[in-house]
Amino acid sequence: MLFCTLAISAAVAADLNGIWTGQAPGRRGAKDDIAFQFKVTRAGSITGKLFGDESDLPIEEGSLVGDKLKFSITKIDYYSGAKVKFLYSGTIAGDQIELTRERVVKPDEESQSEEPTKQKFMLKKLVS
Amino acid sequence: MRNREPLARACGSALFRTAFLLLFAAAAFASDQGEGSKYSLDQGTQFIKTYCAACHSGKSPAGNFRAAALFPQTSFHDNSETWSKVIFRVRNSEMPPKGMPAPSVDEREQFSNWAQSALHVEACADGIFPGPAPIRRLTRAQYGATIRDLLNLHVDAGSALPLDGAGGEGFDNAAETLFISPIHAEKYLDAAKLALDSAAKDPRSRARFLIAHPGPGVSRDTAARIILSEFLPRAFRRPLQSGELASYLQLFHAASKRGDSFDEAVLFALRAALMSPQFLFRSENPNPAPNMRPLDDYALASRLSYFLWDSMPDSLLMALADKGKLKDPEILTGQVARMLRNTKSFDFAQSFVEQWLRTRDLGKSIEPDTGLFPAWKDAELQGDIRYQPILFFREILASDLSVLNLLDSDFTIATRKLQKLYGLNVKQFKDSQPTRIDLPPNSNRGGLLGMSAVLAVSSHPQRTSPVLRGKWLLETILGTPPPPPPPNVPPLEEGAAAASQTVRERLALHRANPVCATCHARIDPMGFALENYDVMGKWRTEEAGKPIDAKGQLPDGTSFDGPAELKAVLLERKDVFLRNLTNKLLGYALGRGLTLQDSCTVDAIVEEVKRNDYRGDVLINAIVLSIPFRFQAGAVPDAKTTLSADNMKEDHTTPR
Repeated sequence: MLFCTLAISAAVAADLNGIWTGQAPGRRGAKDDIAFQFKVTRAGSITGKLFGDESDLPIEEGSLVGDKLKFSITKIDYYSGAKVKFLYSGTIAGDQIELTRERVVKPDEESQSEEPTKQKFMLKKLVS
Repeated sequence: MRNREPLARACGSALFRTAFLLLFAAAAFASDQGEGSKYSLDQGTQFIKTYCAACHSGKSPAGNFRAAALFPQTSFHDNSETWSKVIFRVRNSEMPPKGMPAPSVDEREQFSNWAQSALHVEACADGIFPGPAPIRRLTRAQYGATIRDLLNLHVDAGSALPLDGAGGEGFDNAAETLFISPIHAEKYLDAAKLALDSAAKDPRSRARFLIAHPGPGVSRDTAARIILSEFLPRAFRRPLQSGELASYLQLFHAASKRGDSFDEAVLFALRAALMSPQFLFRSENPNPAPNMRPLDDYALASRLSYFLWDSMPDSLLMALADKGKLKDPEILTGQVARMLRNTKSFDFAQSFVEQWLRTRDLGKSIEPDTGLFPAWKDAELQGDIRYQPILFFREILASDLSVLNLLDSDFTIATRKLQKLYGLNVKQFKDSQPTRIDLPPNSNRGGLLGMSAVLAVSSHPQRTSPVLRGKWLLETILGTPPPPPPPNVPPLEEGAAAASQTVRERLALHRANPVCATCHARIDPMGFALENYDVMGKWRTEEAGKPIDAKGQLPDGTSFDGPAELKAVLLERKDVFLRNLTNKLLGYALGRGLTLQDSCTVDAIVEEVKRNDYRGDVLINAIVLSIPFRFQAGAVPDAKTTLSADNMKEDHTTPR
C-alpha cells in the first residue's frame, strides 16, 4: 500500500517538475504574466521559485499530494517594504494546473484593497 | 561552381552597407511603380558607355577602374562591390564629375534602381546567410537598464557615460559605432562605483545581490563565493567558465587582506566584474565550424532581451537557456509575446521609435519657437507629444494590430492635453495618463502623420517646411531619401519681406531654379499635403492670411489634397513602407548595418507579414525567427551548407 502511494506520488511529481507559465489577474482587470519553476522532492514537498521582474521568490511550504499542490510565496512590497504572503493551491491535469492564489490579508488592511483576495488562473507546462 | 567571395567581401564593406539600404529601398519604391522591370541590360550598358567610359577606359582609366568590367551580366556577381559604389555615386550625383555630360535625375534613378535589383537577385540566389555578428559594447541606455535589472536599482547609472553615435540603420546600438575610448574606461569606473555604492545603501537592492553574509557557520569566503556565484552569471549573461569565479574570489581575498570589511571587499570584486569585457560587451562564442549553426541559447537570450527590452535577459529566459529550450521556435515566440507585454518593452519602443522617427531630439536640439508657439512651454504637453508615437507603436505590437496603422488609423493614444491641442473632444480624461481613444471620422489624427512629434520634428522652429516634411516622409516612412542638395543652394527668404507669402509661394520661387526643380518635384508635394498642421501639429486653415493649399502632385501624376488623401496614397504603397520598416527593425534587432544578403531575409519577412495582415507582432516574430537573428555564420564564407529561403520558412512557426 505504502509502495503504491509512493509510486503514484512519484508519477505525478514527475509531471510537476519543470517550468510552468500562465497569466494571472493583475491590477484593474489587466493580466500579468506569471511563471514558476517547480521541483518535487521524493517526500512530496515542492521547492522552486516564482520568476520575478526584479528578483525571483522562493516557493515555501510546498506540498504535493496526489494531483493536489499547495505552496506559499512571500513578496516584499516595493514601496512600503511590508511582507505580503500569498497562498497557492491547485490541481494538476496533464500539462495544466488550475491554480488559486489567495492573498493573506492582515486585519488592518482588508478595507484598503481594491483587488479580490482570491483569484483563479491556469498554468501550462512550458518545459520539463 | 561560382565563387562567392566578391559578394561576401562586398557585404562587409561599410560603404556598401550604407549604399545598399538607401538604394535597395529606392529600387523597391521604383519597382512598386513598375519602373524597374522596364530597364534592360542593354540600356544599363549604354548608360555606362555614355557617361562613364570616357574616363574609365583606355590604358590609364581614372581611378584604375574600367567601366567595361560592368558590361556582362555576370559582373553583378563578380564585381558586386564595384557595382555598389557605382550605384551610390551615380544616384547621389557624384558621378559623372562636373563638366562632363551628365544624365538626368530620372536616368540616374532608372539606372541605379535596375542595377540594385540585379544585385539583389544575385545575392539571394544562394539562399539566406546569417551575416556578421560583431562584438559590441552595451549602449549607454543598455548599460543603465542592465545595471537596473542586475542590482534592482532604480538609478540611471548610464547617465554619465558618453553619448553613443548612430550607425547601421541609423540606430545607436549598431556595433560598428560602439567603439570604446579612454573616456569610456574612466566613466565606466565611475558608473560602476556609483551603481554599487548606491545599491549597497538601498535595502531592496542589497537584498537582490548581497545574498549571503558571514556569520555562524558561514565563513567570509563562503559568503563571498555564494554572492559571486549568483551575481557573475547574471552579469555575464551566461554560465561561468572555468576559473572565472576563482579570479573574482582572488580580488575579494586581496581586498580582505588589505583590511577591507566584508561588504567593501565584495563590492571591490563586483566593481571589477562591472568593468570587465564580459559585462560591458556582448560577444558570442565564435563558430569554428565551416557552416552556419544555431546560436547557443544564452547568446540567443541576450539577443532577444537587448532587442525587446534593451536590457539583460531575465531569470526565466536564462532558465530556458539552461534547459536548452529557448531555441525551440514555439518557446521563442511565446517568450517574444511575453516580453512585448512586459513594461520593459517600453524601452525598446522608445529607443526604436525615437531613433527611427528622429523625435529623440525633440525638446533638445529641435523645438518650436516658444514665442510663436507658447503652448510648447508646457512641459507636461511636451512629454505627451514625445511619448505619443512610442505608445502608439507599442499598442500596435501589444494588440497584434497591423503596422499599416502607422500610416493611418482609426485610433490614437492621447492625453487630456493632446486631445485639446488636436481639437478633439472624444473622451473625458480623469487624469493625465495617456489612453487609447477611437478617432471620429475626418479627425486627421490617425497614424503617425497626425502626431505633433512627427510634425514638429519636420518643421523649422518658426514655420512649417514642406521640404523638411516631404524629405522626412521619403526617408523615414518610405525609405527612399532624395539625393543630397547641390552645394550653394540659397535658403528660402525669411523675415518681414517674406511674411506676406505662404511657404508654398516662397517654394514656388525656389523651384523656378531648374537645378532645384527636379528634386523638389519629388520632395515638396507630400509636405504640402501636411500644411494644415502648424509647427506643433495644431490644425490650421490659413497661413499669412491666405487659405492653406494642401494640394500636391507626385512626378508620376498622383495627386492628393490634404493629409487624408496623402495617407491614402501612402497606403497604396504600403509594401514600400513595410519593407522600410522591416529594414529598420531588422537592423535594430541585429544591432548592425544590413548587407545586401540581408535583403533576402527582408524579402522573406515582408512576405510573412503580408500573409498575416501586416500584423506588427508577426513582424517582430519573423525577425526573431529569421536566420540572421538565430544563427551564427560559419568560419568559411562560401560554405555550401546554408538554408534556403524555403527552408527558413519551414523553420518558421506561424506566430499567433
